[in-house]
Amino acid sequence: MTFDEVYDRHFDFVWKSLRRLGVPVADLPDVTQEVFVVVHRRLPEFEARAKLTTWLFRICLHAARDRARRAHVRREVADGKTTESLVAEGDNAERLLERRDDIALFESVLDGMTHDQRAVFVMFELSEMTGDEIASTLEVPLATVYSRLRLAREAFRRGATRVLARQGQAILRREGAR
Amino acid sequence: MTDPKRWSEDDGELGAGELRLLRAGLKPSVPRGAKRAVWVALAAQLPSAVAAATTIGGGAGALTGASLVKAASIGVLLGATTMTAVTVVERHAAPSRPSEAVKVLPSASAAVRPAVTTRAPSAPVPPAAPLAEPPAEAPTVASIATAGSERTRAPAEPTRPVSAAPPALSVASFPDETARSQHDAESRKIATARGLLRSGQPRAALLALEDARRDFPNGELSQEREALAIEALRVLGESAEARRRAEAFLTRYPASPHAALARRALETPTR
Repeated sequence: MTFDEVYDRHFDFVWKSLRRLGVPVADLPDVTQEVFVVVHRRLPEFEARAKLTTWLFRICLHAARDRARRAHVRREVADGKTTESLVAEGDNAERLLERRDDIALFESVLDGMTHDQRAVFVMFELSEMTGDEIASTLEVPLATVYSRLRLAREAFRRGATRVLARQGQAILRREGAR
Repeated sequence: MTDPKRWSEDDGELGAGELRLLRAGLKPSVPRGAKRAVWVALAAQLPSAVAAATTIGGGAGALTGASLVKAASIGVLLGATTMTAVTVVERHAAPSRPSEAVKVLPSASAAVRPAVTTRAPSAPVPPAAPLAEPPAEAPTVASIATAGSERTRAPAEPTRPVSAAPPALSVASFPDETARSQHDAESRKIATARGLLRSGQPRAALLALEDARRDFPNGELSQEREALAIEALRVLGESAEARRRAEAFLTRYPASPHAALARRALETPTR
C-alpha cells in the first residue's frame, strides 16, 4: 500500500484516535501531521504481521504521549493553566457543563484516567479492538490488558458519576438564576 | 481468556447518563477540510524531500538526512521534547508549478517537527510544487464527519504486505490549477508563520500572518491563520487583542478544530 492510500483510508482513524487519546482539538492538525510524517518514514518497515490500524494506533499513542509531555513542559514554562480537564478546572468546567457538551464531558472523564488505562479503554470500548490486538499494540500480556480495562472502567464510572452530578447542579443553578 | 462484552453492546451495564457520554465519545467528528489541510501541511513540510527525490532519482530512502534535518529542527516524535529553533528558509522557493506531480521520499532522519516549510537551503534542485492533492478528497471527509460510530477494523488491507519500496508519494494534480496555486501560496505563508511562532518569533509570525491575510483574506486556511494569530498574541502577552480575535473567531468558526485554542485565549486574564 502506498503512503497516499494509507493517508486516504486512515486519516479519520488517526484523527479520531488522537482525539480520544487526549490530544486537544487545537493540536490535532499538528499531531496528526506528525503521525503521518512517521508513517511516511516508516511505511517500508511495516510488516504485515500486524494489522495496519494496530500499527497506526501505536504511532498515535507515541504521538499523543509526546504531545502531552510537551504540553507539560509548556505549562511549566508559562506557569499557566492550559489543561482543559473538567475535573481539574472550575470555571472551564462550569462552561462545559452549561453547554451540555457531552463530548467534552466524555473527554474530561477520560482525562481522569492514567495514560495506560485510557489507551486500553479507547482501544477496546471506542475503537473496538480485541484484547489480543490491544496486547500486541501495547506489547503487554493479555491479562494486563484486562486488568487495565477493569481499572479504566472503574475510573470511567467514577468520573461519569461526578461529571453528571455536577452537570445536573450546573443546570439547576442556571435555571434557578433565571 | 475471552474479552468482556463492550459496554456499547451490553445493554444494562451502564446507566443512562454514562451511556450517553460513552455514545458521545464514540463519534468525534473530523472537521470538514481537516484531511485536506493536514495533507497540504505535510506536502509543505517535505519539499526538501521532494527536491531530493528528483535529484536522487527516487532511489531507496536515500534522502541524506542533511536537507530535512538541517532545515527543520527535529522535534522527535518518539521521545524527545524539543520543538524549537526552526528556521524557515522559504523565500527562495520557486513559484510552484501546479501541474507537477510531487514525489516525496521517506526521510531517513528522525521525525521532523511538522508545520514548517522545510525548504532545504542546500537542496540542489529547484523545488517541485510543494502542494499536493490529498488522495480522494472532500467526499470522504464530509461523509465521515457526519458518520456515526467508527469501525476501526480495516478488513481489507491488513494482511496485504505493504510495498517494500519506499513510499514514494505520487500525487495527482489539482483539477483547478489556479485554485491550487493559490492554495499553495497561502499554505506556504501559513507554514512560514507557524515556523516563526514555533521558533520563538511571535512578532515576525504576526507580520507573516498579516501578510497572508492581505493576500488571501478569505483563503482556505483562514482558520489556521486566525488561530495562529491568536496564539502569537498570547505569546506576546497581548491578551486583550488575543481575546478580541478569539471572540471573533468563535463567532465565525464555532466548530473549528481550533476553537479550543480560542477559548483558552478567552480564559486568559487581560493584563
